[in-house]
Amino acid sequence: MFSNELKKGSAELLVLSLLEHRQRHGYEIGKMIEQLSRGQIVFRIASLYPILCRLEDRGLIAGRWVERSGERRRRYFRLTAAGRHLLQSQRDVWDDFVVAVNQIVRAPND
Amino acid sequence: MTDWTEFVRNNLRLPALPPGRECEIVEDLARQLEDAYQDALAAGLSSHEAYIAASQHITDWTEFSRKISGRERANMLQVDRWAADASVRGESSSRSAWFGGIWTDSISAVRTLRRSPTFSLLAISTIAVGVAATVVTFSILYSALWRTLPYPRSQELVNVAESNVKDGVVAGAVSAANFYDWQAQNQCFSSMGAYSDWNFNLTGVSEPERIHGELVSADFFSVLEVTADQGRTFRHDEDADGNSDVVVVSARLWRRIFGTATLASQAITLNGSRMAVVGILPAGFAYPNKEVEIWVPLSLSLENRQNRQGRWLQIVARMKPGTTQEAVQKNMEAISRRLEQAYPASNLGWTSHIVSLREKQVGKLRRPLFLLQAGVTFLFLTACFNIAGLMIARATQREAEFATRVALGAGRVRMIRPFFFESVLFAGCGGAVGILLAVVAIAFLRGELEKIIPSADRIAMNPIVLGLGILLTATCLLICGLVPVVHSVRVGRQGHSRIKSRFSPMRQAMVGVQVMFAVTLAVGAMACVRSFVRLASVDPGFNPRSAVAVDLAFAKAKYESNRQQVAVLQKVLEEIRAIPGVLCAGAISDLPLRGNSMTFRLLREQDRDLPAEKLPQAGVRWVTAHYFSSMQIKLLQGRFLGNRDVLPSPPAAVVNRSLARQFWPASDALGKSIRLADDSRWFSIVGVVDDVKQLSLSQDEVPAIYFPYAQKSQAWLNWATLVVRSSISTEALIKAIRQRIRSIDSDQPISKVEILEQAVAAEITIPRFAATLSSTFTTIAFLLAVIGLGAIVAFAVTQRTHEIGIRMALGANKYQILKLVIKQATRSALLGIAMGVLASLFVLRLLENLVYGVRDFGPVILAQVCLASMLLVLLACCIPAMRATHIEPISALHYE
Repeated sequence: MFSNELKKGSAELLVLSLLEHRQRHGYEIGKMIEQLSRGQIVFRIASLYPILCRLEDRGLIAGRWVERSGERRRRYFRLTAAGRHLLQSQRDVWDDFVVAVNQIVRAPND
Repeated sequence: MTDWTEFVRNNLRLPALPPGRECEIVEDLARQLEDAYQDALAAGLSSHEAYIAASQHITDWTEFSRKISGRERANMLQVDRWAADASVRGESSSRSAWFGGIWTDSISAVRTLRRSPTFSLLAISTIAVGVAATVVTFSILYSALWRTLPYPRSQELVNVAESNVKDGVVAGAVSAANFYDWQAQNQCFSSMGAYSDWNFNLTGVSEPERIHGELVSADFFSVLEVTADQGRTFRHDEDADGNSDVVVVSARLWRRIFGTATLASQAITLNGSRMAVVGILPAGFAYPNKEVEIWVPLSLSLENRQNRQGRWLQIVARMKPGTTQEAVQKNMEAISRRLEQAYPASNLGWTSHIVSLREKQVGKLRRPLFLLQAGVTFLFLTACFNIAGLMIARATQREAEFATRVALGAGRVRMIRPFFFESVLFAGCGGAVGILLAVVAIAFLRGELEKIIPSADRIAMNPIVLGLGILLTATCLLICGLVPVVHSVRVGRQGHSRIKSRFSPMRQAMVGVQVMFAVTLAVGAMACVRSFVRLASVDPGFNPRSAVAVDLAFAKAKYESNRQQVAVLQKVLEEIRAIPGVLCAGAISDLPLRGNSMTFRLLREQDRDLPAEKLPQAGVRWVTAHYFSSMQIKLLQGRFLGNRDVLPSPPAAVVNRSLARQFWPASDALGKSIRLADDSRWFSIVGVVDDVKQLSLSQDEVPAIYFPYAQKSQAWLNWATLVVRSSISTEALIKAIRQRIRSIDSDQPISKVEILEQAVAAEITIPRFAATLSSTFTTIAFLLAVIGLGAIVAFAVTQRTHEIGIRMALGANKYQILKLVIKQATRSALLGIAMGVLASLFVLRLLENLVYGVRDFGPVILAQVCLASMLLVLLACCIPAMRATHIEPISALHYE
């Protein structure tokens, strides 16, 4: 399990990435993060829900209610054009960041 | 089974969110918790364990509620921090992050716009109206004052006139002899042309017409560089004495008479003579004005060419390329001095006066149009400042967000960008809508404006006008965008908490400026309104109700002598009086309110020894019997002129009150003798009538004398205006009059038919227009200023709720709270009023010569506007201030 600080720093990027190809509901996003990280990263609703609210407020994701027969309706989120654009640029930033951090962390310190 | 909706509702506290939004959040959270619960059950947990597992998702409900209720939303998003970091690093990705930010901000601006539709609609429509009004007035100003005249190299064209300071003549008409001398002696003009208004009776067509025409010298068309569309203009030999049997006509007149026929030796009958049409001018050519449809050679006799006393010609000239107006003025003054020495009897004191053709045509419009433009610009700026004020208010609501962002290291550009985009959106939408509105308004107003502005048909949306629209939008963007930006930067620097307790000086300044504009506009508007009211209540000296005026001009060929003219007029009047329903009918040479008054020198018995130039002048009119009763002009003394005042009865005359008072201040005018300087007959004054408004409603009557038409010796006076008072409908009356005139002479046209009541109403068209327009502007400006001020006070009260609570808890009474709030709020407004008064003094001076009566009521208006503005300011402050006094100390202390 990673520390809260590490998780906080990457939560928004994770949410945006998960919504890149399809719309998902809030609980599903949390579950996907847990599954894909093999339980290394876990977000409870208390942490994830405000992030979704903020991203929606900024116009990076958009939510809508979807009703399926025999089920109560759920709120699904999809990536907006602005979100897609930001995700693209933030992926580059993230890669650069990881490389930069590795250069320091992995380099032999004389 | 657990009711998760109830569970969430019991735990979640979201007081700041609208109920609709809260329900959605509750439903969404309940659904997620239920999913978690179901997952846990599926994993084999008991229902109690599954409930524990699901409820573990949110343990601290207070913290969770706080996070989503909006307080924490202002925190900078992680992605923002990344963007900031990236820009610091300055690497390639920084650019994309920056642009990504732009995209995010623009989207966010659109969302902000949609989130508060009332504010957005208000802001956009205010900008749109401001831009539209300014663009429309500018298009009028531009087409009237700056657009080139429709002649080749029109900047070379000037009007040459004669002035005589001693006689008070400025830019008057020119004598024929002087014109020919100027033409021969000048070195600065490539050509000079003379013209004079001369109207003609067009007969031999289905309906005889009175046509506006011009007598023109042979060079007239070459000066304007106009060539005929078909045929030609005049040759020099056609301008010689006795050769004027040719005419050039406008395309419009040609179409009216000959339809689509091409020019081939057609002739028309003008004033009873056959004239050959030698040319048709291009459609749209109209000089000196749009009414003119026919041009005839001047063809002066030798005697008339040498006449220096009669000044009746207008001169248009084309300066040689590269010559300046100053050089022309110098050259012409030298010629005038030579002529003055050579012909002192006629030219003493007379000098030439040069103005550009444009100045001659639109000079008088300049000041009113500029004032109109200034008024509209004031309104536009008021609107901009108002929106800026509103945007600051919004910015203030987000101060906490700014402060947090700054604390987290957000850059200045990053901070101001959302506001910039919001302003771009407001200004852009407002400007675009405004320009569209202006296009529609210009098309709609063009016809209406033609009554007021001669060049109104040329008003159009062109690149320059459009450019102004874009410039205005940019100005708007600058004001609306910059002000909140400066504000937010200040907040960023000083921190949220310090700013919060203060009454934003920038918003105060905004209100001050708005009040200043509103006060200035109000003074201008009040001047226009009072002037209009005063003009509308002016007594013209006659009763315009149920009276019709009909202009007649008798063809010289048919009615050459005085006897013939008097006889035909007499017959026409008798016929008209016989129309059933006609109560009274008479005629006059110059009808009141037409701006005309012929002035002659008069001789009293005591003036026999005076030289001609020392004789007093007065307005002279010739009237028939029953004229005064038809007009219902008041008789003050003696009798009206009647049927007995014909030749060879003793010559009689009636004078107006002004003449009686001025010519015989100490004695009675009745029974006195008077004559025209160039008429040997003495006329005995038989009556004194009241003054009428001869020139216009705003101009006082000059001393005037009325001679009997039937006793006139002036054969050139071949026209008259009939005044018919009746009890039948105007349409029926006009129809009957036309029939009766046709029955006497089927070739006699009627030049003009006017309903007197409409003529008087037309006199106040422009003042009414000015009054309506300016008061509309003022109302809008005041409304904006009051709303602005009210909003700022309301906001200040909200911000000071806590402080007011403490003060009240410590014993301050309602009066003290009221005073506290009003004192602070009114300071900027009072300063605005003071600045407005200063600006108004300047405006009143500008209006002095434009608006009737400003000199009399200027100071009163100033005082009234000051008082009214102060009351409005107090009113704007009072409502929120009163609210402040109703604050409950306990709840105020809990506030925040």
